[in-house]
Amino acid sequence: MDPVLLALTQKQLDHITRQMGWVMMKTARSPIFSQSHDFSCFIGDANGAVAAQADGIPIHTGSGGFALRALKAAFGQDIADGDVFLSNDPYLAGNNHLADWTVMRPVFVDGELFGFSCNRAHQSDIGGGVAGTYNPAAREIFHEGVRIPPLRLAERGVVRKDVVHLLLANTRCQDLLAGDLHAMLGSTKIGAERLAALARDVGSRQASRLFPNLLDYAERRMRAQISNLQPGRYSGADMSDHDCFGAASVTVQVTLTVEGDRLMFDFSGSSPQIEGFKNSPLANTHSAVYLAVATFLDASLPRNEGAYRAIEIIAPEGSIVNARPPAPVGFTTTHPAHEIITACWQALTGAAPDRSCAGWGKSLHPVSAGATAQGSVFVLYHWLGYPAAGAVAERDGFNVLGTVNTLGGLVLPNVEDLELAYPIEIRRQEFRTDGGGAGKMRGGTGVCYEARQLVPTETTFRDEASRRPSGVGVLGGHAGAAGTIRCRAADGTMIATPAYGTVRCGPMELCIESTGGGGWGDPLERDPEAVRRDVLDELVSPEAARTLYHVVLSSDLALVDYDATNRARSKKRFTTTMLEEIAQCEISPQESWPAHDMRVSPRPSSQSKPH
Amino acid sequence: MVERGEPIATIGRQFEAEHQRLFGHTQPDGRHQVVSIKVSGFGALDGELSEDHINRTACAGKPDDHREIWVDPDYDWREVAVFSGSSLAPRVLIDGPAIVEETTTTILVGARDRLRVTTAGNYIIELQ
Repeated sequence: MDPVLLALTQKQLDHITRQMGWVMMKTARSPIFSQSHDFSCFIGDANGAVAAQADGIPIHTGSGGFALRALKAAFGQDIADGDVFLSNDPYLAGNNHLADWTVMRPVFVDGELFGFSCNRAHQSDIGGGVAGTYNPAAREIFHEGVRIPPLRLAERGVVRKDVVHLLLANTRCQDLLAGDLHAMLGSTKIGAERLAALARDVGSRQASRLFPNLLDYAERRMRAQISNLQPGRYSGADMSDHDCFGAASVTVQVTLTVEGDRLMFDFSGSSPQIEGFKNSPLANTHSAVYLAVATFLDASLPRNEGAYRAIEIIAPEGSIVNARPPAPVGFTTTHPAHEIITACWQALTGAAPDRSCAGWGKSLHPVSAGATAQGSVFVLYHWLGYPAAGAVAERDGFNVLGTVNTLGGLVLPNVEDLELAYPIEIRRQEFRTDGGGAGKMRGGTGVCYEARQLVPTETTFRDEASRRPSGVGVLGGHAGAAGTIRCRAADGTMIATPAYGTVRCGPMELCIESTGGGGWGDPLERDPEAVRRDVLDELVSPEAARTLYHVVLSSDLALVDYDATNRARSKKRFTTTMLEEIAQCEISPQESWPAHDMRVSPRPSSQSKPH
Repeated sequence: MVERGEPIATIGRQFEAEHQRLFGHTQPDGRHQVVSIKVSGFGALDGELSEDHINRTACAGKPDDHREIWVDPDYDWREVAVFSGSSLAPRVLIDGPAIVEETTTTILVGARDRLRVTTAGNYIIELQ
């Protein structure tokens, strides 16, 4: 097939998904969509493979094919032009978690099923134990909201009103959900019209070969990339210290085998599924692995399901990465998706150290729900308190970009818009000082976020980040600072914030220091001028410049004293080498790391090797 | 574009048709809210509005509030005047440092800058 036509078509398909996203942004009612884009539009081929996913949030779209194939398995040939389908269930319908509703619209060309135009969107409320879709007290999926197996939402062009009424009966935010559901229908309609027009433009003979060729091309590119990695077996792990009900050690463990032109991620050895809502269903695990691989390898790789054929995933049933029903999974797209991604990045680091990605900070921003002055229920995500990104070889980490599963696809709301939409006053959003993990490339700093909630709320806390640093450093880079969270009632008394739990609060002030990202490479190799700029910008304190980066600045911070800096760095390198040699003679080398050991990652010399 | 004398219902229908074309749907239980009306008028003014004219009649605005903010390294933290954008009339002059609050944005008038409201209600900030 003509390679130029193929390249143009992939771009056109990607553009169609973007256009669908704009329709949703313009017309959805919930600020979750219209301000922050917590939804994703994608296109599938007739077999249910994702062919384009340029819009939105990668954790949504990476598993889109699972939902499409579950739909095809449920309805077989009983799919007609003008039908539209909906699902949300992870166990029955290949979704991530119940909050993300997937609208799937089949597209017919000349009477034949050509593909699917889809939108997966995180609803404001879906019933369940707590307003706002995140119920940290859930012990079963039944506590998390309404479950929707593949369902016919529209039949031959007519929306089924009885079905819509059933859906609206299961939300606290009827007005929002009704509007958002129709916006989803509209965005998939526009996508379907554009997709059909594209097929007609290239002609039916070519059109039938478009998707297979695009998927095959992506597979060839991915396999060629993998062939350049160092073959071997590598391991990675990340853990959580909480199972939503108490302290626990929950590990995501992965062994990566790089062999020829394929990758195998084996999660054997990961913790069993837990009682709380941080379990991952299979679709979500696949999506998280795909995200880790796609971000690690070349940015020009096509992002469609053909590329993923080169990846095999072993996820033991009943484990944290392949939970059995009825385990709750409400928080899955954030945690354990974060742990899966970090573990995969760690393993991949062994195969290509230069491409390492330092860890992103984990999340602790709460969700607040309450009543507006008009009496309707609002659901507010405190996204302005989002964590920072880790550093990579090419750049410092972004200072506030969100949880790693979104990769920045979620738009931080505009303060004025947020204050208009919700009874809240934003008092502060400022980069932290010394939040970012030190490194040749510095981790993102995280932010100090302060907000006043003006009305009583049910506030749901999901604190994965305050008990220890979580944005891990790589190749000698340090971890970012841990997060903090405090709530003060209007009368000045402090409100105890649980790690996981929902608290009924009066008007209150919320203060978050969001988690810093990990640093990349040895801080002693950071450009001293970059350190000076960071000190001027108050991203790095003068003390940290001296003690972590060993950079000596003039007293007015106008100049780097290069001679003194070189002397300080040489001395530090000598001391570190001595300490490492001593450490190798000790029984427990972990304990003999120098100060800041909570935040120091192994330097390249002791990086994991193929075994 | 709406012709003179057209009933409101027609405007609603046209809006729905355009919404359907652009966005693939209409909201079955949706209500229309008119958030702005643009009217174009054509005619000749008696005289031209000159900059001189504007400056002659300029007046200092009255602040709605005061707030302590960090201005810049020289001015550091200090209390500045806060104006509500909706209450600023044409030809008002505001010397910085000051803040103008609008529904969808917050404007800082720097320490040595001057904001002028034009006859059309726009803000021009002269940077020093």
